[in-house]
Formats: sequence, C-alpha cells, structure tokens
Amino acid sequence: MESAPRHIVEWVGSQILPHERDVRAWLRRARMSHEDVEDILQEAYCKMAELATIDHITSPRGYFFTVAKNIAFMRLRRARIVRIESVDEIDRLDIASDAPSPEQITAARSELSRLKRLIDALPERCRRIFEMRRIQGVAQKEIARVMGVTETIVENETAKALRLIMRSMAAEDGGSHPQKEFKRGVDAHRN
Amino acid sequence: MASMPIETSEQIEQAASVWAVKERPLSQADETALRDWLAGDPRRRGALLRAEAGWSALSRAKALGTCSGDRGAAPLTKTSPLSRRHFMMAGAGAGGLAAAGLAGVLIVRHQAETGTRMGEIRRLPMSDGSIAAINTESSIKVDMTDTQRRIELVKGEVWFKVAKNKQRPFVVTAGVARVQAVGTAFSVKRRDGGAEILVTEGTVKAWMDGADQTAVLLHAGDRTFIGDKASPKIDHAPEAIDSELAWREGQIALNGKTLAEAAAEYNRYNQIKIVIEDSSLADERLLGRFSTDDPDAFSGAVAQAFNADIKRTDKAIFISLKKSDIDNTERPTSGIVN
Repeated sequence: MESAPRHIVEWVGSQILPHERDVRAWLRRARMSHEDVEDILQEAYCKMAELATIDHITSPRGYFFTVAKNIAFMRLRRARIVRIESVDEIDRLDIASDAPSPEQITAARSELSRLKRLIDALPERCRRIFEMRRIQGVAQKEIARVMGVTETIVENETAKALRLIMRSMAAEDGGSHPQKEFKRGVDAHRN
Repeated sequence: MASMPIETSEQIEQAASVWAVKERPLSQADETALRDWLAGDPRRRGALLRAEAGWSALSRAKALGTCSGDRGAAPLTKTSPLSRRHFMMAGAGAGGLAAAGLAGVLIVRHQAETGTRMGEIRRLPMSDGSIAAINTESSIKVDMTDTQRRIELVKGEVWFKVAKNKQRPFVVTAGVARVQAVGTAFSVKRRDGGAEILVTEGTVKAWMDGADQTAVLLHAGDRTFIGDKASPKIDHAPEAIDSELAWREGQIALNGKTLAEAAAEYNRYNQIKIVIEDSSLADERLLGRFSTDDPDAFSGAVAQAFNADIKRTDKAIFISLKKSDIDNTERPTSGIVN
C-alpha cells in the first residue's frame, strides 16, 4: 500500500481540510460522540485516499459532507440495534449550501493571519523548528545542527507543530490558540 | 507486551503526522517501514492523507516568511538562498486559495453542457446563483443570457433551486415539456414521451411545447407528468416528493417500495446490478434510506431482514431465499431495514 498521489494530497489540503471544522460541527449536532466523529472523519479521508481522480467533484465541500454522511449511516446500520432517532437526525441534517458563501471566501483570506497567530503560540522549540522547516525550507539536518538536537527530535517537533496547528484550525470553537495535546484511554490511565 | 491494544484515532494521527513531515524522498528503509505501517490498519492511510494534506496546505505559511523574520528564525532568513523563491511560491499559493472558492461558479460560465456518469450525483452552482443537483446519468445544457435563463434537460433527472430574478425567466425544456420558474425549487425527470415534474418550493408553470393554453400551475408538494396526453393531472404528495428526491443527498428512500423496485432504483446508480431471484422476495416492502453508491450495504441489510442468501460476482449481486427457508413460515412479512 502506498500513500495517496500528490495531486490528491494537494487537493485535500486546499479544498477539503478548510471544511473539516464544519463537517465536525455538523456531525456533533447529530449527537455523535467525540470518538465516533473522529472515526468517521478518518474513514472519510481513507475513502479520499482511494480516489484516482477528482475531476468529477465540482463541490469538494458537498463531497466531504456527503462522504461523512454516508459513513455515519453505514456505521449506524452496522450497529445492529439502530437508534431510529440517529438515523433520522443525520437524515435531517441538511448539507446546507455546499457552495461556499462570500463570508467563507473572506474567511479563507484572513486565514493567513490566523495561521500566524497559531504559529506564534506554539511552544518555543516547536515553533522555531517549524518555522525553519516549513517557512524557510531549511533541511532537517541543518536544523538539527543549528539547534543542537537529533534529527529525530526535529521530525517529532515538526510533526507536533503540524498536529497542533491542524487541530486548532479544525476546532469547533474556531479557537485561535493551539490546544493542549491530550491522550485518552489506556495511556492516560497508565501515566 | 503480548498483544497490542486497538489504536485510538489519536494515536494513529500522531504516527501519521511524523510520516507526513519526513523529508522526501524517503530513504529505502523508511519507504519499507511506511509501507508496513500503512498495511497494519486500513485507517492509517486516511490519517496519512489528512496529515500530508495539512502539511501541503501549510505551504502557504511560507507567505509569512517576510513578516515573521523578526523572531527565532531570523538568523537563517538572510543567509538562505531559498527564501526569495519561497516567497514567490507562497504568493501564488495564497491567490489560488482565494480563487478556489469561486471555481464552481466559473466552470458553468464557460461550459455549456454538463453531465454525470452512472452513480454520480453532482451539485452545480450556476452563474445566476441558482443551483442544479444532477442525478445519475443525466445531462443538461445551460444557456444564460441577460434576458433568459434556458436549461435543456438532455437526459435524466435534475432538481433546480432557482435564484429569484423576474427579469430573467428560468425555463427548462425536457423533450416536449416546458417548465418555467421565477424563484422556486423543482425537479424535472425525463421519461418516455415527456417529463415528470416535482415541485419542492414556490410555484412553477408547466406546459407542453406548442400547447401553451394547457399550461398548469404547480405549487410546493405538487407533481405532474407533461407529455403527449391531454390535460396534465396534478397530484399533491409532498412526502412522496421528499422521498423521491432523496438522491440529492446521495440516498435512495425506500418508503414502502418493493424489493424489486428498490433493486431497479439501485441499478440506475451502479454498474454492479442487484438481481432478485425469488418472486416472493421481490414483492417484499421496505422502509429506510440507503446510500446510492453502496449496493453491498443494502443487500446486506436485506439479507439480514429476510434471512436471504447473497451471491456476489463482478457484475451482479444475486439475492435469493435460503433453500432451507422456503417452507419456513417464520420469515417476517415486512422488513424494516433501517
């Protein structure tokens, strides 16, 4: 198995991710649990990783909503004992308007300044490494030398920055500060 | 550890983010490790796509290179020979982002005919602010002028949500049938000899080409057929209309349809055909809603509800009674496969 082709990755980055926050909020309105919502989103991305072409998708936003909705339904059906209300509620969630409103287009423009705030709010070492890696395009080896850390640390800090920024970008409250990383389940109890 | 607990989506997300930011091209060893990691759990591929997409989208952060050279990263900014090129690339990226939102609208202005393949359902925002939802295997021609909005339904079925504009009537032609709207929502479906019209909002005028005097007014919840026959009969059936238009959400509403009817409906959308092998099964009535693109889930649910057998080939899904069950009277008479 390979990772998804380049043009799909770029398409998801520019056309799908900006709507993740809305899809998440929309699923939450159907009273789905946090875990269910995250699983549905992950499955939706799996489905997109299978796409060979995106030429037929004129509304990525509508596509994202529809895929999430279909997965939500499928999960309900697999549950054997199905809460009819859930079916009904997902059913009633209207894929409001899948054409982005003028406000959303404006929002895309102001996103850059929001991104800057998010980067500024990253933990110090994480921020410095992220800026060198993504903004200045400095090689990983070079960053490791300048910062006096191993390349693995550079990788992990960069990955952490990516996660923190993506989570804040997709947060339901549209929070402008990176959220704390949290662990749940087994690990949380062990530590 | 003897056995690995099931990973949470967050643990997967964490690993995926590390893979996404790794410098490309990957080393041979990393290449193999990534492949193994992906093969371990089907969810991982989705998580990797999301992380890679986020990483790719963050390339627009390069636009910040000019204004955030103030802190931490400053020493490298001046010496890096790459920074100027990065700044220019970022400019292109930001423009693309703003333009992306408009892409859907622009497409229609330049494209007269648009259609869907089998199984595809497409929402099409039009330049006048109206929206067309195009069902499977359908095709429309759009002709927008300053005085008229003309749509020709070449084949299939389309639902229109029309933007109000009294100066530019919105007229759909479908074979001999004509439908005119001001600001309303309705669907037109081509059938032998004419077209079926379902109105979901507002009022539309419908008539047969060359017979304007027989025009009828249809209101929300009304349906009719415009064709060769004399004066059209109007039914008021809002709930039935709602179900019939479930395809707009990528669904088939089965409200009381027989299994044979439901199968025929699926077969409109999918290359893999559902075949009902027993006539007694074919008459069973069903309730519920299913995705148009998932005949497997549908046949699975049917098999469960009626205790039927499924045989699947490349081209078809055969649903039949279990042999031992034919004489069994325990089978329910009506299945609710919600």
